[in-house]
Formats: sequence, structure tokens, C-alpha cells
Amino acid sequence: MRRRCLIAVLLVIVIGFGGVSVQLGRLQLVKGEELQQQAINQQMRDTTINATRGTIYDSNMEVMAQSATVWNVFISPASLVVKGSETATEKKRALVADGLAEILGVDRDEIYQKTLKSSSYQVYIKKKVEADIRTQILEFKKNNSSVAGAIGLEEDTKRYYPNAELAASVLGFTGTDGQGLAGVEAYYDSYLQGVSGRVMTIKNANGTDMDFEYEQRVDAQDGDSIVLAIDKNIQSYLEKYLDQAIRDNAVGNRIVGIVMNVNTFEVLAMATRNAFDPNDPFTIADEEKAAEIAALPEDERAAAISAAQSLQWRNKAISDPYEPGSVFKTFTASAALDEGVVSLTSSFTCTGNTRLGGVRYQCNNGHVHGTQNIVQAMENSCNLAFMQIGQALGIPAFTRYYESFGFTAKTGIDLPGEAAPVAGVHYHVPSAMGITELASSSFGQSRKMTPIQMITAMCAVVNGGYLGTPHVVKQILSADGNIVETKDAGIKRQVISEETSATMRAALEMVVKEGGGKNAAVDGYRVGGKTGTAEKLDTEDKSARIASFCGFAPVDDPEVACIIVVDEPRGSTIYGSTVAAPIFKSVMTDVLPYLGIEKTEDTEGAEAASQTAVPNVIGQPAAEAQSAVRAAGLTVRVLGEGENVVAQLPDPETRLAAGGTVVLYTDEDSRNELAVVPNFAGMTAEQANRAASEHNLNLRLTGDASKANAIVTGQSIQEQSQVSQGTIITLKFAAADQNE
Amino acid sequence: MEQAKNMQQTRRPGKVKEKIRMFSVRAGIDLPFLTIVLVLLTIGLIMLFSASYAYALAYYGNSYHFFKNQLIWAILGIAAMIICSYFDYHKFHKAAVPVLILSYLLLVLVLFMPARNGAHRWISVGGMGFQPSEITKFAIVVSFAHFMSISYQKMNKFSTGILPYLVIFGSSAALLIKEPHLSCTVIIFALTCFMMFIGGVKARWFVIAFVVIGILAYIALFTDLIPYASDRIGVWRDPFGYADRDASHQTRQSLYAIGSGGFLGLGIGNSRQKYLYLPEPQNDFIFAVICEELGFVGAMIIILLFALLVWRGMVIALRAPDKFGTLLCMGLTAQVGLQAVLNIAVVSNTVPNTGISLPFFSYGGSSLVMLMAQMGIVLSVSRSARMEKS
Repeated sequence: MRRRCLIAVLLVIVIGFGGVSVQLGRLQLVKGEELQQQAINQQMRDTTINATRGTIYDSNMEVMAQSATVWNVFISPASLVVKGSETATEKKRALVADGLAEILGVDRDEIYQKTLKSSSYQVYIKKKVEADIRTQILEFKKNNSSVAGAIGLEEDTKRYYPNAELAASVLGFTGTDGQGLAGVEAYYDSYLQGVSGRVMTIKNANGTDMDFEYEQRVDAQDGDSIVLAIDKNIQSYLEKYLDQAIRDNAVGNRIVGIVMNVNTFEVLAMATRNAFDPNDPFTIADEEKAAEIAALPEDERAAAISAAQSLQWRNKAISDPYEPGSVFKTFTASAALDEGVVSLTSSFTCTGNTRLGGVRYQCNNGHVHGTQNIVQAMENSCNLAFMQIGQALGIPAFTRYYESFGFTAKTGIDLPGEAAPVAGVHYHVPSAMGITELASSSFGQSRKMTPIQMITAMCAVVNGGYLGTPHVVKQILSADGNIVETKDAGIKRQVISEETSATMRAALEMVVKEGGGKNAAVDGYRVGGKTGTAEKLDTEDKSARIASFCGFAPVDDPEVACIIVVDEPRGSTIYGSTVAAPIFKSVMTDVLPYLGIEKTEDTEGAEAASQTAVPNVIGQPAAEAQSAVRAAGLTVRVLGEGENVVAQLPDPETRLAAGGTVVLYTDEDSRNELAVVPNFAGMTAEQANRAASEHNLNLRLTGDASKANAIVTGQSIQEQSQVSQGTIITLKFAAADQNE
Repeated sequence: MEQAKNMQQTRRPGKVKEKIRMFSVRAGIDLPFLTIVLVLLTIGLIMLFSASYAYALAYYGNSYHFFKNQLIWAILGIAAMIICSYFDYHKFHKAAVPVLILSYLLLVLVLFMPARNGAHRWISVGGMGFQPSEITKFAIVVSFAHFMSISYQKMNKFSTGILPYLVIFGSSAALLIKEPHLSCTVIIFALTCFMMFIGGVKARWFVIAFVVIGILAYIALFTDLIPYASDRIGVWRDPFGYADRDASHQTRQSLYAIGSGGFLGLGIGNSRQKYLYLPEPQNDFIFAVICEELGFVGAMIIILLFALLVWRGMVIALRAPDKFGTLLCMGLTAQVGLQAVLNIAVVSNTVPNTGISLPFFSYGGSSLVMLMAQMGIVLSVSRSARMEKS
């Protein structure tokens, strides 16, 4: 029996206790970590602390995009349930629904329905509410302690763009989770985002925090801030004139403008209009388009909306290759001069048309330019001369320079969505080039490039030959303000020599001074540039044009370049010289003084001297007033039966050109005598002045009114409008020269 | 017995005298056994407090709810143990048959009691509940000890050595399964085997029995013929992948707790699984919390204490003056040991889940008092053991 007892007990100990010990060892020592991880997964409440997204500043540290804390409001329907009392539960639900409906402006029934999900602990009522709403909710919770535990606020962030549409296509926008979806927001997302932090607490099986201390905190690391090279003021000048141009020229397919520092390759402004509001990027900003979509049948609407959205988000300046037309002659000339195959004394003869390789070429509009040197060929934008220059250069050299100017590669601008040039699509590969391809390429046909490629290459032409990397971001700052990264010009190579560059600057200045670029001239500054008008290659519509101008200033020490590309102008005029050049002029007229660039030419003085201030004659007897106005060198017209002047137009101290009309009103009735505005379009300055005085109106002449062949291209008050006599109408003049 | 006698005779008197002083206080109860019991009871109370703390707070609004009750029962249990240790265990010779009859009566009566969780296991008297199965386990031990000690010469014959015990076991098991109370059935089966083996039943019967059990176990474990158990077996085979997540919940949570403990544990009081993950952590799955808080080391210490208890019980049994004492003592300590093994095996998913409590640890007043009383009987045997007498 003793033996059996021993055996039995040993069996219990060895097999029983031994067996479970082995199993415990397996669970705790071998599989322990794995099981512990699974246990932790169910025990831990892992709350993410969002990192604050970095701010985007313009070059003057003005805020362009900023994140602010907002709150998501949620309820915990399970916490509203009072066990065993349906009425008490209902009372709580009603209290929450009423209270939140009032504060949040959400439908009360909608909230009530959510309170019924009694097994849920987190049901969102409204997302991204601002601080004032949060305060109201906290107040409500304080006053209604019975339901306070069932209402929660969760921190979130929202992106604000204080300047609305300004620079929208550069800035881009963010999605609902704060991720950058376009523009700088997308390209620099990894910098802006920061690193989210976490708070890990232990919860019990019911989801509430356990009552003992365990908390592990990893602080969020806020995102870096971005300082743009973009200057908010230059950007708004650019956008103002682009928007104006869209209206003036009935632009069919948006308009692009870029302003760039020619030496640093910093993009000072970049705009594609019409754009969108990054605060609300999914709304179609173009109201006409939005209405059009709203009218569509429901099944087509979604597709139309998404098409319209991607269109308005598209940054044409970098994403859409366009036909440069004659602007490209700049590069053919640069290459030929730099290669030494032509010199300033080489001459080229234009007979109006020619045949080459079985193709007949006509100079633009059949002009016969005769014998020209290369600068005159630029001024005249003579296609036949550039064919000859191209032949002199030859295919290999042409191709080499084409590549060297960066037209066969992305510029590498720090924005998403830059179009990559495709051989055989956007440019000819040398093997596929014959004499006719070389000819058409030489004067800018049959090739496409993006506006950013064009202006970058233009910078290289005028800055001494150095091709750099355009960039919209100047600096990246860490959350505490230290510099993380500074962008430089990113010079890739010298394309042409300093001498060639100097020659080209002079040639381009001559284009603006004497040639097709006259409308681009900026008072007081030496400006160079080249116009271009091109038929669009990829459209059935033979009338579709792209009008562009790319230029720079000042000529002696270039600082700023600007390109304007107008896609499908449909107004009274469609040329680069008449559509794009005036925009360039307007932009540069604002930008150059803003950048503190000194005027070197004295052109405005004479004009100002010829103007006279209108004397103040209000309250004076009519006769005295008349002589006072006449004494100032102005004509006068008295209206009404009264003795004294009760009102005058224009107002005192307004500056009028000599001989302008001042209308004096002597009684109130006379103020109702109106003038009808005539149509000034197409008139010369002289004709316009005559028409104005016939109608008792005053004029302010803008644009190139002083140029001999200038004609009116726009007027500030529509024809047939009725206005008070003496009103000043602003007329816009442009040179009628259509040379490219 | 013969050997024990021989052993005693070879012992040097002086040394025996010394041992008596060391191991017996008054009238010589076995101090090592008492110490092991009290250590287990103390650790049990501490761990019960730790394990039940969060659950009690969540469902009873008072962290001390279980601890307070168990403490009172533990004190009553110690009292019961002391009383029983003074009780002459030979009186159970006469009590054996009445206890067995009482066990049957209660097992029948309990079937008419209202079910809890779908099983009729509890008899409630004036707000206090107890499980008749506790009496049954005791009844099996006492009656077997009684019958075997008076007919131990006839243990080799089937009709006298096997059949009576199979009848007692079979009828009790049938009533238990009716409740149903599978875990207790398993315990009394193990006890029956244990007692019959010590009683001297020939080994071949065990071979036959184990072959039969093997076949039955195969049917139960690897076929779906017994629907009551099929869920448990599915969970046992794949606790993390079993489709019915509710069925596998308790086992999964238990394994998480055990695994979380690792080698040294999270520290006493630091279990996270007791925070409402592990259902009723103060009951059958208290050992999972122990593993989580005290780690592999702590679990091994407790297992060692149980093993020591069984070992010391055997030592006492072998020194008992008669066969009845030996069998009674072996049976009572084996019951504790077997139940502990089975509980830990369930908690660690070594065997399929079945509701079985851990002696000295699991919450439950009547069973604790019953357990302590049985330990008192072992001490009573030790009191009359030969070492004190000499």
C-alpha cells in the first residue's frame, strides 16, 4: 500500500502538477510576449495627438495658410441609458438632442436618432466646430451635469487660407484628415505634417479608463513651416491683371502668369486663373460652370463636378505644355549667336514667302521685311529670317541648345504635377527632324513647353546664361523657428555665354522699344521681351490661339522676369502683342517700383506737366467761376439757371489734360442733364478727345496713348451708359502693330 | 504498513524524540501540513482580494465585497479545521454510510432546485448556498476509505474489490451529469481511480479502464457526438480562432492574463486582465490573475505548495495507525491536489474548460469551510499518527 500511495502521489505530482507547469512555462515564457501584446492591444486606449500642421508664409512672413484647432462634437449614447428607467433615459436623450441642436444648428431629430444607438460610445454630431461653439458646449455640460459625461469634444484641426483664392494653385489645399492634396501643401506635406503624438492609457473592458495610473505619452512634433518665395503683394498684382484680362479678352481656357527672380530662380508670383478657394476647394468657383453643372441630369453631374474640380485645381503654369510661337525665337537667336554661326552683322532677307523642302512658308500676314540683321529679325519677328538662322545652326546644335535650355526635362520646380516633356510629342527627337521640322522649330512652331520651362529658360538667356531651378519655397522653418532648409538658385549649367546674354538683352529690349513688343513697355524702365501668338496644335478649332509674352526688366541689370500666357483669347484681338504684352506691362508697372527698382527713364514727367489741376469754384458766381476755370487752361460748360455754382465735375484738384472740360452746375435740376457715353473702341487719342468734348465728357488716357499708332482697346464705362456731364472716362490704348 | 513499521523500528529513539518536539505543539498535529495549509489560505486570501478588487468595485460598488466575505469564511474555516483536528477520525467509520446517503439525497434534491446558468448545482437555505457536490466528493473519499479498510483483502475480486466502488461512483456520476456538473464528475472519477489504486485493485483493471476512457475521450474530444461539450472542445483546440467568440472569451482572456505575466509577473495588484476582461476573476479563473501578477515564478511557488501539501498528506497517511486513516488522509489530500491540477489545467487551456474552483483561492464560503474541515480531518489523522505516539 505504501508503494501504491507513493506511486499515486508521484503520478499526481509529476503528471498533474508537472504537466500544468510545462503548459504554464510554454504560455508565460515562450508565448508570453505574443500573448501580452494581444492583451495590451485590447487593454490600451491609444489616443493620437495630432501634430499642428506647419504654417505657410509668403516671403514677407504674411500668413498664407494656417491650421487652427477646432473640435469634433460627439455623444456617447450608451452613457445616456439609465438602467431600468425608460423615462429617465428618454429625458436625458431629449435634453442632449435639444441642447446640441440649439448650439450646433443641427437638426434636433437627427441628433435624437443618434442618441438611440445605445450600444455606441462615440457617435459624431458635428465635426470641426470652432472655439466659440466649444465654449457653449462646455457651458451646456456644466449646466447639465446629468448628461455631461455623454457629450464629448475631440480636438481636430482645420486649415485656413486667409487670402482665399490668392495663389490657390500654388498653395494647393488639404483633405479632411489634414493631408496635403495639391500644390505646396502636397509637395511639402512631409515637412508640414509633423509627427503625431500618442497618449496610451489603459482602459477596462467597458472602455473607460482604469483607475490606476498608467499613461505613456509621446508628444506630437509640430510640422515645419514653409516660407514661400511668393510675395503676396506681387501675387495680388498679377492676379488682379490676369482677372482683368480674362474679362477684357474673353479668355476661353484660363490664363497663366508667372513672375520670377531671374538670378535666384525664386518664383515671386504664379497664378492660373480662374482658380478656386482653398478654404472650400471642392466647390466649383466658376459660378457659370457651377450653374451649368447643376442643370445637368443627375447621372452626369458627379462626373462633371469631378472634371470641373480637377480643372480648377490644375496649375497650368507647370502642368500644361503650350505652344510658345514666336517667343521661342529668343532661344533660336541665343543659340545661333552663342554657337557663333551668325553674328550681329549677318543679314537675312525676307521676301514675304519661301519654299523649303517642298513646304511653302509665309512670313506672318505676308509681311515683307526685306534685309535685316538678327536684332531686326527679332523686332519684326520675321519667320523667314529665323528659318535661315535655324538652317545656319543645324539640327545637332539646335537640339543641343534646346536640351541645354531645359526644354526636354522637367524644371524640377517644387510643386506637384509638373508636366514631363515627351520626346516626339512636345518636341522632335533629332532622328525625326528634317529640314522642314528644323525650319518650323526655329520660329517656334511644332513644339510645346510649359510656362515654367519657358520663363526659366528666359531667365537663363538674360541673367548671363545660367539655368537654375525654379522654386516657390524659399525656406523651411522648424516649429520653433529654426531654419531647416534654405533653397538656392539650383544652377544646373551655363547655357550661353555672358556676351551672348548681353546681346540678347539688348535685342529683346529692341523688340519692346521698336518691334512687336511695344505694348509691353513700362514707363520709366528698360524692359525686354518677346511676344508670341500660336495656333493651338491639339484642337480642331482653327481659330484657337495662344497669346503669350515673356519678358524681363531692367535690361541693364535684370532682376525680374514675367511670363503671361493667355489660352484662347476670344475678344476683339487675339495677339500676344495686344493681349499678353499689355498684361505684362500692367504687372511690371506695379512690381518694379514695389521691388524698389529705380526708374532709369524719364518718360512720365512730360505727361504730368501737361496736366492741370481743376480749380475749386463751388459757391462762386457762375461768371467768376467760368473765368477761373478758363484761366487754368481748361474749357468750361455751365448748366442750369442759378447764379452760383452748386457743384462741379470733375471734383476740385482732379488732374485733367489741357483743354479738358469742366462742367459747372448752377442749380440742382441741371445735375440731371446726362451725357451718353460713345463707343471709343478703335479711335486714336485725337479722335477720342474730339468725341469726348462733343459729349461733354473728360478722358484719362492709359496704356500706350502717346504712341503714334495707338488705338483704344478698352473703356472704363460702357458705351450708351448715361453719366453726369464732365465724368472722367478712362481709356486704354494699345499699339495697333500686329508684328510678332 | 509493514514497511512503515520496519522503518520506525530502525529509527533511533533520540532522533524521534527530537522530531516530536519539532513537529508537534500540543497533542501533536502535523505542523508542516498545518503551515502549508495556512500559507496557501493566506496567499489565497491576498490574491482573492487583488483579483476581485476591480470586479467587486464595478458590480458591487465595494472593492472589499468578496475579500470581506471570504475572510469571514476563512476564519470560520480555521475554526472548523481546529474542531475537526480534535475529532476522532475513526468516528467516520460509522458516519461513512450516512454521509453517502446524505450525498445521494442532496444530489437528488438539487435537481429540483432552480437552475443557475442552466445548471442545478446549488441548494439555497436562507440566502446561503452550497453545492451538494462538495459533500459528494467527501462522501466518495469517506465511503471508499471505509469499505476498502474493512475489505482490503478482497480488493482483487471484481465483485468485492471493484463493483461496489464502480456502483457508488457510477450512481453519483449519473446524478452529477444530470445537474449537469461535469467538472465534479471528473474529480470524483479521478478520486475513484486514485482510491482504488491505493486500495490495491489490480493494475490490469486500470489498463482496461484507461482504454475505455481513451475511446470515450476520443469520442468526446474529436467527434461532435456530445453536443454539450462540443463548444468547449472547439475552444480548447483553438482558443483564438474559434468562431464563437463569446464561447472562447473566458479562455482567451485567461491566456492573455497568463501570457502577460511572463517570468516575474506584473507585480501584485497590477493585473490588467482583472479589469473586467476576465469574467469573474475571483472564481474559477483566479489562477490566471495569479499568473499575471506573480509571473511564472509565483505560479510555480503556488504549484509547489500544492505539491508539498499532497506530499505531506501522504507522509501523514503513511504514518496513520490504520488503513482507514491512511485511505482517508490520502483521499482528502488527493482531492485538493487533483482539484488544483484540474483547475490550473483548465485555466491554462491544457484541458477543455469546465467550471472547477481552486482550493484555498477561489471565492466561495461553504466550499472553503468544507475544505478547511477536511484539512482538519487530515490533522486529526496526524494527531494519532505513529510518530506522536512513540
